[in-house]
Amino acid sequence: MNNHALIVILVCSLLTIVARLLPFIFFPEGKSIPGIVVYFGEYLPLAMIAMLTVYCYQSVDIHTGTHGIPELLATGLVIALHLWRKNMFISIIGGTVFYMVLVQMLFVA
Amino acid sequence: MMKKTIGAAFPYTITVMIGYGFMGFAFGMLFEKAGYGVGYALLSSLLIYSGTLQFLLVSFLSGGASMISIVALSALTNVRYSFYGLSFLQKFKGYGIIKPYMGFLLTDETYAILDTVRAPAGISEKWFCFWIAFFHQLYWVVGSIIGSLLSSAITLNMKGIEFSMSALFVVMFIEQMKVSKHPLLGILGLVISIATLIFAKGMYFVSISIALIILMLCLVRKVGVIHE
Repeated sequence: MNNHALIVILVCSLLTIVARLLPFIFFPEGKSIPGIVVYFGEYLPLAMIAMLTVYCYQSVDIHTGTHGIPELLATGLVIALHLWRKNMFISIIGGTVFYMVLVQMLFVA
Repeated sequence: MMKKTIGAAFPYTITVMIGYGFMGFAFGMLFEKAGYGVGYALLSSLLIYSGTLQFLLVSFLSGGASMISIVALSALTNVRYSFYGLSFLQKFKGYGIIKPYMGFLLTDETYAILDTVRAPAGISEKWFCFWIAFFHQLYWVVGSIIGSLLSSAITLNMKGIEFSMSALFVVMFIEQMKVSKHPLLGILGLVISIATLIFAKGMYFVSISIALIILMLCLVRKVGVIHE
């Protein structure tokens, strides 16, 4: 086994376990939760997912290569499929397969 | 009784079975192609169990990222999990010994599904949620093992499969927008992040965006647009 890879996996694991269990450690049953924490618990996730969505596209360069056109088209299809079929996996698989076709056949850089 | 609960929970996991099977497969394959075989894929899917972080893990290891940037970027991408837990403090009340395990299983999809489904009459809510969450991880683990093992056998050109992560987030964003009482906050989050992307990338992008988003939420609360 590769030690460095093993350590990186364990570090990622530990950080994930801590992040997921932190609220349950900080607020055991019976302890009241401050208003500001309730507020962030309610409204931060949406903005966070917005940020992570944008993060997925950070390597897209609109000035060179395919100018982000395959990404734009595939994202459009994901949104359309999702609003139409309302099934997350139809949207994900449909969009991904379409993107693969685009970058392999039409937008060969 | 347990059989009945499993039977009730299983149908609610079928969409995730397809999705996690597919994405786990994509992860296993990318990881294998980066030089890390089935043992690494299994360990990651069991112990990390986060699509976002495991796809990042592939780039950490193949790009030779420094430990500091790995820790910082992982911690920052994981912040949202703490908020999932926060909003489930009430739901998991009385879950006893399985509570820490349930907390660990809160991925984006499991959080979203457990947030929306309700146990049928006569079925324990606690065990209903447990089996859904358990099956989800099972699919993820099995998917990544198969992806890793079949990686070299598949001669199909898989270029572009990494788009599955972008698609997943786009879908989750739409889902969260639909259930949010204040979808405008999602739009603000998008605008802030896109603006940040113009001048920052990678770890800097994530940390600057989170800081700006928290600032935005504090301002919104202060102004009193949202009443708790």
